Amino acid sequence: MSASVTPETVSDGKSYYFVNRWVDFFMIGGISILAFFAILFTHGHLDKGTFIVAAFYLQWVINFPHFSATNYRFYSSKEHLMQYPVTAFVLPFVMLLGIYACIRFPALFAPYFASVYLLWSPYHFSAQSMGITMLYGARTGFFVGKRERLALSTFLFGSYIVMYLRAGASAFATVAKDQDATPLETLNALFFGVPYMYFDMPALLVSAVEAVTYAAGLIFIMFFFRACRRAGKMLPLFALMPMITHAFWFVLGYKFGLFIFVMFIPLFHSIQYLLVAWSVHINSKLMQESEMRPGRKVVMSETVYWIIANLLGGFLLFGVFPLLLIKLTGTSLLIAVAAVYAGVQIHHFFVDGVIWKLRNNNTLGSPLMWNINDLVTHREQQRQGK
Amino acid sequence: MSEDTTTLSETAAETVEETAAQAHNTLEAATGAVKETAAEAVEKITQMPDIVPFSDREIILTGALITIMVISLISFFLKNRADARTHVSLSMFSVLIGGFALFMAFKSAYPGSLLLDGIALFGLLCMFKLMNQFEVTGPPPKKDADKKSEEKT
Repeated sequence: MSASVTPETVSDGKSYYFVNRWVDFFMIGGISILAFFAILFTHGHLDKGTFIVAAFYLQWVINFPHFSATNYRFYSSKEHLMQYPVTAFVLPFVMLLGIYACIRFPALFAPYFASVYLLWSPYHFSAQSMGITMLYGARTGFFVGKRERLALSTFLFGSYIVMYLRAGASAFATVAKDQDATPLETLNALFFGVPYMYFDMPALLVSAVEAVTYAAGLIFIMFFFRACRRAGKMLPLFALMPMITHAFWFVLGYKFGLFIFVMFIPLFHSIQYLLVAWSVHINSKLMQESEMRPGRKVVMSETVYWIIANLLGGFLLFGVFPLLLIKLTGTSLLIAVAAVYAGVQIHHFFVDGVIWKLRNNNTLGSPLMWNINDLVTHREQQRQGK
Repeated sequence: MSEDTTTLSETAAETVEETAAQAHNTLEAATGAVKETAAEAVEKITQMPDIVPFSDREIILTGALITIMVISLISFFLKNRADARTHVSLSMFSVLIGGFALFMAFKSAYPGSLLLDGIALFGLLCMFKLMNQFEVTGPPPKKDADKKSEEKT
């Protein structure tokens, strides 16, 4: 999700959750925070390989479908494609060129392509944290203005940059100096067998960025409490949930040396994303088809259809596509997987920037601001014309 | 007096002959050297390949240039058909591809340079920020009905 949401507060009496307190809590950050503590207390006792295998299987049901969900929303409608023609028709060719160049020049091009992707990916996660904070801010009545945005973005992007630079430095130091580095440590400096570049920055500069980052985070929290004072009431603390979750991902995860937890960040990011993407899909699709509220059964069946479609889409993108490339070009599995992972995900960063701004002429308002209750409750009341 | 003159002229004639012989030898040697050098040059030229092949790095950079040109040509041919937002988006692709090519070229030429790393990191972050605005800045494409009504007015 990109960071631009119209500051529009949900009308009084409407829930500021997409589904309800528990579903939103767990999907926006609860699962990340629980996983953090679970890994913190068990990582010394459990085999790291277990976590890696778990992450491998989970990405097929969480991470890959989240990429598919983006493409499904964008490419499933001609109306959507015509709103953003360059993203729809030129971008896929540019990304295919990048993937082809990785396969053609695995030692010369692929490392740079992987480096750009690996720097861009956490940037994208931070942009999503920004977007979701603003979204819940708008839903809860906490207006995120210009100054708030500056403080928030400094914290979100600063924490990712600091972790990226520090983790990169330590991983490369391990691989460069320690010939006996374990395969797990070597993984840090390799992206599916493709070595990637590390940006060497003076430690003092990184520490200075870190200090500014924490200060900005505190300032943003102060802005929140100032907004509460101005509103004359305590605004829902849930508005801070995405920021707190981000702090677990990019500050605490690294501070506690939990490489395993950091490895799961793409999954946590995808869980957040799927909640918003599902809500927007369900709302825009069902509200568009019928003036009547469709009810629980229709919502459930559309949800199941959406889940199956995206599981299949993820499998095609990350399972079939690399195998097809191997068949066509004779490249190795690792190079094909690295090229597809980087290419498809960079494509996702672009498409994600436009899908939240798509306009559906048959729907009312922004689907980002709706709640599931708009669809499943009060159907009878509506039938009776109340 | 006459004997002296005779001896002098004989000596002069000998000197002239010697000098001429030396000049002849030098000329012959020089001619030989020129011929030899020319032969070597001809041999070297004939041994030179007709084509100097691109290195892999040059192929990649050339590919980036071609892609930028193709995208710019698309923009040119769409000059009356596409709106400003589409042209801006196509230009942003050129920035993306050019930025990536520069990153690859400099990072591979000067690995480990602190200054270059700083510039590359800052440049890439700026590029990500720019790409966040991809095809969302500027007015959205106009619908046909809007265009027709504008044309009428």
